[in-house]
Amino acid sequence: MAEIGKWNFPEALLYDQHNQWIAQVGNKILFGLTSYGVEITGDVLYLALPDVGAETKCDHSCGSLEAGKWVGRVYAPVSGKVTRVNQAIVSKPGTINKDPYASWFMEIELSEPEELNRLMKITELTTWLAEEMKQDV
Amino acid sequence: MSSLQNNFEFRVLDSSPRTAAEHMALDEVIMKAHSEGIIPNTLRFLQFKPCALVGLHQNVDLEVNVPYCQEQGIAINRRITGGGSLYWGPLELGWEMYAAKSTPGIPRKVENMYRLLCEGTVQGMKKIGIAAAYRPVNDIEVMGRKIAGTGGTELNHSFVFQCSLLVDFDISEMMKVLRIPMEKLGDKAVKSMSERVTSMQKQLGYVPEHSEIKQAILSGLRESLGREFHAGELTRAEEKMFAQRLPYFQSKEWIFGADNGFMNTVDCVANYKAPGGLIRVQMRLDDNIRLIKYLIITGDFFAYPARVINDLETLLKNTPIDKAQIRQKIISFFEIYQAQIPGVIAADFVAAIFLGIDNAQSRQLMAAPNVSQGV
Repeated sequence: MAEIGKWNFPEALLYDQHNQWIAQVGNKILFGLTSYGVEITGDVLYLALPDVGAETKCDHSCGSLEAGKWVGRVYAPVSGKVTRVNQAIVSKPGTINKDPYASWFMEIELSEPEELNRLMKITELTTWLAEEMKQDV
Repeated sequence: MSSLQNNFEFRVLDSSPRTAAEHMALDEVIMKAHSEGIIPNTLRFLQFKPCALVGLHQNVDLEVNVPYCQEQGIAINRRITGGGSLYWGPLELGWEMYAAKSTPGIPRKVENMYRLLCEGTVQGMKKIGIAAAYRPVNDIEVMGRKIAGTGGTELNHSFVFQCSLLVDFDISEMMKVLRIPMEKLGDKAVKSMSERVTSMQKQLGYVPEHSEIKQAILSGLRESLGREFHAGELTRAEEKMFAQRLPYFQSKEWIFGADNGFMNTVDCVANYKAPGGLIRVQMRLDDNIRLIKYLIITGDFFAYPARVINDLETLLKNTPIDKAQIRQKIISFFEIYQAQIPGVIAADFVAAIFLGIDNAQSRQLMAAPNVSQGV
């Protein structure tokens, strides 16, 4: 587990610039919000995700989450097809704040596997996030 | 961030009153244009023809008195941002800011961004003689009474922050337009709501000119953000996108939406007899009974300072229904607050709220046809 600021980031995961973590499992990925993403968003009260079978486009919004009066977006980290949606966190979104790395949003089957190369590994995340966090000092 | 957005000036958009659908369509258009880097950072003032606006994930039928609005010609629409339902009278004024998330000086953490932009608005309101103050997380108040609410959303690397200012607010009309979890007790209900909400007219004794309010807000934001604001217009690209998107924002599909895409709610009431008087709790919960959306606490007890009840309501808004957490919040609140409520202690408020939750759960169990006893 890597520490950046006050937050922990599993080293085996990939990350995007929307503060989401991505876990590759064969030709599919699972993804959710990082601990820092949870911190800047606040308590998640409502989560809206697409149905199984929906197509996703890399970096495009594919869902939304509401925290108080803020509506954040869920961004597809890759293009592909939604093969599973985590209904347990849809019905209990507060879980995301308690355990962000266990709270995966959905599973996507990759249609463009090379898109994974655009995601950040932990070393790249460390550099990028250090700059991001300066804004909240 | 594009070079367009990488400067210290904001374009200011202002227009005569527009319909709710026009404003909602413009919100989406400007948000999208900003996220594509084709427009500069923008501040927009909004004046509406009378309307009811629900939050993105709300169910219109549960939040708005649709037949009344239709009879009165009050438009209904859905915001692209979250939060609760609003009634906009003809003199209310909104402002909203579109900027890059990476704009220097604007915090990334939503709570901190709200604080900064609310405090800029507070500075502006003070310039016209209103002793406003920021009330965490996202309201502006005067002596415990709400005078402005805020909300926001994001798209890619851009965000919009919105603020609605109550200028000459008609509480009685709001209570007819919105479905508020409060019994319709005529003057008593209006009085109760008046203890929670105020307006510029009530604070100043007159209705200030919109031009005066706008200059004050810009001045407050200039001081808070260190940015300049200059009048501008929609670009041709925005006008074109607006013309294309307006029909969607006028459609029932957008306003009433899909049946399964909302956070539905249930209302419940509890009357709890404490030694110092009756505590009446009226709550709106999500229909899974996992969250207090908001609540109104009334009763015949005496509370000093009077705002203590408003502050308790604000504290409990959007609280997950976890009895240990609710109890802890209320107990801590009264430990810090030093309120005087003769014959009523923190545990009484805990009991009243738990009673309301239990009532909602019992009612739901009775309404569920296939729930077996003992489950």
